[in-house]
Amino acid sequence: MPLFEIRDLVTAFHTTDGRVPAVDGVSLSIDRGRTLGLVGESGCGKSVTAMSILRLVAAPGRIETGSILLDSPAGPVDLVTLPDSDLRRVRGGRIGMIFQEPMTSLNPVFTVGDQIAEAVLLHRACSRGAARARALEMLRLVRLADPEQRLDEYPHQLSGGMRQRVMIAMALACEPDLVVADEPTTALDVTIQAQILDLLGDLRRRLGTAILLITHDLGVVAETCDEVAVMYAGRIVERAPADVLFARPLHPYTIGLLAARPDPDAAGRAPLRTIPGMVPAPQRFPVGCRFHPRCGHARAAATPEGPACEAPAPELLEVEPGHFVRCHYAERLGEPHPAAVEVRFA
Amino acid sequence: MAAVDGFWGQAWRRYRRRPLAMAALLFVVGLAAVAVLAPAIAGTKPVVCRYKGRLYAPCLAYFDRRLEPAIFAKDKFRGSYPRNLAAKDPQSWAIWPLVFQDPYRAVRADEWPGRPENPAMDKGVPSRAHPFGTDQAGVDVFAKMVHGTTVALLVGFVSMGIAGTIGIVVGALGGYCGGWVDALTSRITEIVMCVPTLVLILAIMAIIEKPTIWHTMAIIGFTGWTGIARLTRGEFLRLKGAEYVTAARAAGAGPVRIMLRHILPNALAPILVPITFGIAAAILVESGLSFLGFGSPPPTASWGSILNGARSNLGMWWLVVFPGVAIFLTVLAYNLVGEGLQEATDPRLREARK
Amino acid sequence: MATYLLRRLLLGCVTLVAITVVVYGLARSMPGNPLTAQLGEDPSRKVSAADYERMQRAYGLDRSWPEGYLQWAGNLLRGDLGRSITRKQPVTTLIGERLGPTLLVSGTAFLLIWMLAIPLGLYASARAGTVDERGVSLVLYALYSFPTFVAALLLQIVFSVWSKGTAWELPLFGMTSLPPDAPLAARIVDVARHMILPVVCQTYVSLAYDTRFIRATMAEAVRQDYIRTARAKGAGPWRVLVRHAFRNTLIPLVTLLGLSLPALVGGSIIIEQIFTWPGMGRLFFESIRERDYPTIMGLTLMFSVLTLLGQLLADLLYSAVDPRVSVE
Repeated sequence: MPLFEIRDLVTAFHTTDGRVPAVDGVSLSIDRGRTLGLVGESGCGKSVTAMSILRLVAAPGRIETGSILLDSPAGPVDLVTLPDSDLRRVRGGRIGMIFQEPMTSLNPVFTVGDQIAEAVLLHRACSRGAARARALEMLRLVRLADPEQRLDEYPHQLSGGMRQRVMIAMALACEPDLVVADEPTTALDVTIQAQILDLLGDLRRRLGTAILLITHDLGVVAETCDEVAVMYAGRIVERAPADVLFARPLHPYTIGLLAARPDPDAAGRAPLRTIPGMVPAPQRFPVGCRFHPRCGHARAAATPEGPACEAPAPELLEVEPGHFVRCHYAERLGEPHPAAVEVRFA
Repeated sequence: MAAVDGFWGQAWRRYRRRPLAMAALLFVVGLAAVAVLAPAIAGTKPVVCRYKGRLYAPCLAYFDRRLEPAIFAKDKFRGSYPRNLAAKDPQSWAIWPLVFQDPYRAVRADEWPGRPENPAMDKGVPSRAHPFGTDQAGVDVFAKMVHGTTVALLVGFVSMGIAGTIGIVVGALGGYCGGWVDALTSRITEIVMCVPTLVLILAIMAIIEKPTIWHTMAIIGFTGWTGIARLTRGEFLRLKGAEYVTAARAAGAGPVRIMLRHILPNALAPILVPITFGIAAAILVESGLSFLGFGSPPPTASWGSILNGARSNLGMWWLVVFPGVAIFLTVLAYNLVGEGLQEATDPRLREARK
Repeated sequence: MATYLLRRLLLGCVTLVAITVVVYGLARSMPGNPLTAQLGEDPSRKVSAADYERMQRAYGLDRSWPEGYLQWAGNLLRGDLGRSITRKQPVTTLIGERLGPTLLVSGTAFLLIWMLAIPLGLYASARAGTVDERGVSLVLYALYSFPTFVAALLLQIVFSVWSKGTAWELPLFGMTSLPPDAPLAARIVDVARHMILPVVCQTYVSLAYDTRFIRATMAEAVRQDYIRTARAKGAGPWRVLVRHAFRNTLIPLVTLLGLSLPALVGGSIIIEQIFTWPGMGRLFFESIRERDYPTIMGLTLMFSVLTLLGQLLADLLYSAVDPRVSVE
């Protein structure tokens, strides 16, 4: 069994406007020491998936069905049904978490050292001194300058990049098997982003930690991930090894995302491509294939004989070993359809 | 409900969803109705009467003595209507208040045909004739409380109207102008805050030779604006830098126009909250002053002054329980309205709901 | 730090001068003076016009109030708060006598408030949304709106009038009903029994307010991102609540603490008046009624200094509990 597996996860928010399924039947798995990139536009449910893993979804949100399995010596445990006290041992112990906002995710009234040491003390029977020593060791590991001095500083004295290093140190302090990184570089400057990603990749190699990297940035995925899952409107639409996905993207949405990336070689010359339309709000997910209102294929295939994209909802099919696509036209998508991507001038 | 409604429309919809806040608002509306209808609920003057061929509304005298028709003074009614009406004009008729009791004096024996004199002192225990009892002098407590509603409501609105105006003006000037204006207004605010309120009020009440309930309201207003000023200053400081204000300034709007048309409407929601809580506080201060014997002078009917009577006669528990509960419920209602308002207009809470 | 304190001190002095001028002016503008207020109460002490003139001169009441203020301020700079006109005692002695009883009541109330408000506030935060939390919150809300003077009168009726002769009877007013030569233990018990009702009255409103305040600031703190980080680390619910959230609510809480300083020393005029407790609030009330200018001014000065000190204390404490804030 893989180290970590999510099966048919449904997380919904119960608001005054009714039930809003932000995550609607997501399945994915990660092997030991591997990196999975979960990609999608904002609002597609990728962050809610991340929060569901450690049951950190806030009040109106609830995990409704599905299981989140973590391989353990005594067999896999389901984090969805695990008692609170056992879950707490997993949080920070076997699964570490890095959040998007390094500015607000650290407690302003405790020193950096205290916050890392707390993570150690919560999971290991050791003295305060040992925990502090471990915190210092971690700060060195994440290559923070002047670690001895930083240990006793407060978060507001550090820059965004330094704080994210502290977050990484905290998430890795107990040598977890898996790190969930929810947009770890989004809030940072571009140059800092690259440093943080390098650091994550380096630490994964040295510590053998598996990483679930959640991002909207395909460039980040290309550089760091072994495998990629693309999410759209609460569902995974395509999943494949990274090299396969970038070489042979099949789902029209993935193709659109890849085409929408600015090409550094054609700097300023080529027009930017965009996917027409907007990401639907969870209250108004289209029936059938959720991408079809924006999809060129759907429009081109709207003939009386072909299966209409409105219904039924397509299943995630394995089109080649390890490559899954959720599209009625999955078999025919090998050769790109001329109308698959509408090119616009931005 | 219209699809697109303004900020206040949305706030109202959110407010309506809170049952306690709605109940409190209904209570306040009910109090206002009692205040307006007080002379028709309890009194010894007819609501409407026909006397010597003409129609009169003597009950309006409860709002202002000068409204009592002169003819009744000329005919020597001396405030006692039932027998005089019948004796001096057999053709007359009258519609009487629901309860024939006066808030300012005890009803005398046989003033209303067949009704005995009001009991006084310890004998005034609540009974069928006097559900809330009577006070030391035999005045019906229910009538006093019905007429005291006006004072309670007026105190809240008038004094907070004054405090709100001063607070917003001072805070807006300090927050918008900055510099020496801010230094000056901040210092004035601090000084007023440091002077013990009750001392200020007691001293001013002593200086005014014949204090009326209006003086009390004015003083509470003039001493209670500091919190509003500080909040307004903060809001103006925050909004001064907002893009739309810069845009208005770039478009050539003058400072007064910017303050009134652009900043104030956006700052109003947070400022309104302490004003609502201030209404509750003003009612407490007024009844506290009346209780200490420094409030509106007799014969103004104030809930606090009924309590004052109980201090020397603790056995007369009804002089504490009924007005006490009335003050409590009114203060509670205003606090609940304030809190409902806060939750209906707080942008953070709104975002949390999304 | 030193320059900050110096600046605050100078500003405070300006404020103090303004406050004392205002209050002195107001006090002197009140109709009557200490002599008329005193003599009016006691018809046996009729004085002749000449005697009255002489006394007025002796107390400096014949001069205009700005002159009187300057004289008072001059004496103050020499460390002399003056003598009470109606009580024939130095103002400092009077304040000293009244400080103890006030601190006894308000200090006890203060301890009770914070010892109860913090656990209650934390409890309400931990159980947010449950039936028992709503019940507790509703009761606190009602208490917060309940006027102290009504509560005081009701307590007096229940524990003094209706409980007369039972074990529940509590003294109606005053601080002690034993002669000063009674045994110490008996006197302590006696004073404690006299204290119960005033302390209850002074406790409940602030208790309700502070608990709601803690609950509200906790609700704000719990929404922050760092709370999620703490939970992701594996911290348990109490640890998250007490160590991570409550430590952050201390920041607004110390401001509240600093602002409650004047009330702690000044006592409550209404409560001391109802229970005829010989404290500062009652002294203030009486001195205004007696037009005893030196006492009014002494007390005003004390209140104002305490208010300013409380604000300074709040700001200093603020920078102590929030590493992001420094007083510079």
